Amino acid sequence: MRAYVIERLVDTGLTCVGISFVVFVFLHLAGDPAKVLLPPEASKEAVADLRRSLGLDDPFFVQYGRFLGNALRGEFGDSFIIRDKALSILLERAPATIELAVAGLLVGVVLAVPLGILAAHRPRSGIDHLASIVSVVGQAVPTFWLGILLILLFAVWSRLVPVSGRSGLRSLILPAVCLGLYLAPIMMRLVRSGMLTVLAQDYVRTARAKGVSEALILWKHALKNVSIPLVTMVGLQFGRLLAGTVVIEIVFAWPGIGFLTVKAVRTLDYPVVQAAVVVVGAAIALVNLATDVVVGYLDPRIRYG
Amino acid sequence: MRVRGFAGWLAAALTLIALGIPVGGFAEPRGQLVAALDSDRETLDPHQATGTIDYMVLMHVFDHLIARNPESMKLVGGLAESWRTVDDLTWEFKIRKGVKFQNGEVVNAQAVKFSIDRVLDPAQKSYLRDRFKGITAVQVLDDLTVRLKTEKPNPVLLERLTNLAILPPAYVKDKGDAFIAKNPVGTGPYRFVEWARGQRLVMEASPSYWGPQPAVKTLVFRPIPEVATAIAEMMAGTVDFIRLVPPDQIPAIEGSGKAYITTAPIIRVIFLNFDVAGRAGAGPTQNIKVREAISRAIDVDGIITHVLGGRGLKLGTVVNPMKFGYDASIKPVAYDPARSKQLLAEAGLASGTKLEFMTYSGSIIASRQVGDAVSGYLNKVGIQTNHQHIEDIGLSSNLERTGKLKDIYLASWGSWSVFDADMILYPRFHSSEAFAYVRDPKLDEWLDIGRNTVNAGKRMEAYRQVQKYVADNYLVFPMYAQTSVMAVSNKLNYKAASDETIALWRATWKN
Repeated sequence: MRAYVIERLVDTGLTCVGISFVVFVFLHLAGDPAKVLLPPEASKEAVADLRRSLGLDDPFFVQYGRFLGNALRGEFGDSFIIRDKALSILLERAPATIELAVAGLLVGVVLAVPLGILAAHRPRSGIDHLASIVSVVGQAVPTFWLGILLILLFAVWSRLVPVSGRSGLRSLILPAVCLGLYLAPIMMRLVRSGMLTVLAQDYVRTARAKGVSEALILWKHALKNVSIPLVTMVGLQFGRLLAGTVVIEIVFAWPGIGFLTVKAVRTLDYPVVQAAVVVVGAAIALVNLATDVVVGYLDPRIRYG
Repeated sequence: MRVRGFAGWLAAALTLIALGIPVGGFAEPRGQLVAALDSDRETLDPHQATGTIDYMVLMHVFDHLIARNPESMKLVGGLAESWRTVDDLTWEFKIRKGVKFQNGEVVNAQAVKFSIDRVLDPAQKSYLRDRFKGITAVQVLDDLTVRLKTEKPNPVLLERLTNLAILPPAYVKDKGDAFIAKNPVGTGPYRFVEWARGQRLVMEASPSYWGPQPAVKTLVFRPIPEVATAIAEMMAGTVDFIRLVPPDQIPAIEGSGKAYITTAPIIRVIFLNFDVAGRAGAGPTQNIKVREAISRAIDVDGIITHVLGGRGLKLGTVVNPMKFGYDASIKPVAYDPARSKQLLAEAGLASGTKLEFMTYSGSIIASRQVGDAVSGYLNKVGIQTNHQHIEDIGLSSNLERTGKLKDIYLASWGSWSVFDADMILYPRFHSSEAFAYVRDPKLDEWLDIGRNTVNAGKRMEAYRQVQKYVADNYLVFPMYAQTSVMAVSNKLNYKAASDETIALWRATWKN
């Protein structure tokens, strides 16, 4: 296992270098930040001066080499726009993003697992149909619209929670529920189909014949088998959420990484985009590694190395 | 506010009148006002900020040498009590006596020199530098007198000085640029309290402010990018002010019983830009008949009424009527689709010809809908459009200034709240400018006269010639001047101003 983890960590490092190169190329193709930074009436000399001072007139590979050398030391340079260290700007937003990702996934899992199990336990029953409808509606409803609806119902009319912003646990409820409702359907479908397969297997039939209670069969024996793809999916979703959930961040004015990165791309703020891509890329790779380790623990048949 | 004796009270009253604030508001500041803005601040260093909204927010903490009366839009003294031109290349300013920065430093000529020199220092990479680089020297004559020498006569210098914040030199030198960017200290009506990036910026009424104390004690600026969320906050009573309200949301605000709408005509003008010079390649808009045909095909009144809910002022020139240099004799082009078709036939443009047409989001209210309306009118006379909408102002501005906008572009120009024709005519029509899609030596000559002459009569004449030439040759199609639409809580009195700024120190409580 240790050799496998070390190998994966090396892979993660190489992946980050690869990602950084691709992003560097695309950002340079996207345009000249000096022109975005200066006022509309700025002269050509002013644009040239700014390009020089930002180091943008060096050859491409010189710029990339400088970036890579600095990045290895954890230094991504100062944001062109915010005039502060790109990494510290990003890390400032990280807690909000992690908080929302964890809470959203928790809501998703809490909704999806029981509903998926119940639907699989009584296929084609009323609850199964209800679960299907909920999952189709959950996937079809745009997050943006759902967010506004939740705000109107629970913040404007009933005043139970704040409308937007990040000000304590209560302000986390609406964005987390919105995210959870978006994530739940796909997880619920996975649990349902996994349970259907597992419940049809011989060992379940044997357990039932031995008189093991239905609850024990469902929640212990069957769920453990279904949890392997579920953990893989939760890991993948968590990694994705670490890159930010732009729509939810915008609707709930949530100060996360997603909106920051989108804005940095629009304004061609190279240091922030590069820091975001490398840091988030590394985080996603590490989450995937952790997922593999957990799956190995859940399923002793899986061996690494 | 500390005033001593009758003279002091008289001076205070005169200051209030000059700033357009009703005399009598001497009550202690109280309460909290939460303002929703569509973006977060980038920095709190006014010399490093790049966005118009940054400037508006930082105006609460910083003062400038020159300010603007919110009612008349005339220039009035800010930190400069008075000023005069010594000769065509020299301006002299008398600094207001007894003003202190919020950290106790005294505002004097040295502070003014330090602030201007800081903007001009290339190492600072200030966004403002280009606007002030005509200043060749800042001379301190005595503690309260400063002279600015300019390379050429600079008639718009006073207007531009409304953008240059005065900073405390000792504080800046002691703490350094990075610290200033997060902990600003100025002379304005509010002092900085807290900035949680992406969440809130908090300010409190400054007890040492030299002008009248504001009515609102605490200001909280919250970045809320989605306007529907900002409106929901207002309905819940947790936001008191929204800067940009789209026309389709006005009924929701007005019907809420929580807030009201305040509007003001602003100097931002919306117009169709034609690629007259063929910067993006040869195309039909290089033909004057096609440009006239397009101008006659669009019913601007219809757009103002149906898309903008009547909020807009139809124009015949891109110079806003509130600006120096506006020529009232130039009337809008009459809507005449029959004549438009005739002109297109004369130009030999086949019916169904497709033209490129780009619009963008950012500063034009309902830009996509206005663009759709323009496309619809053009379709009626036989011009098809390849209408592309860009959501990002930075990207569209980049394409615009690099000469990549072919055929037609729905453009806007806010002039950075500078009420002078130079601020739009020069960048849009002078051959040397990145934003100009026209190359014409005649225009260059008139524009140079306008920019480098202090004689108002000569300048006016130059701008009259430019506007007539632009209109006669249909170089652009001026459409309308925009109206700013803001939402204000029923608890407050506040009126939108025509310079597009927000000045919440002018807000007062109703009860």
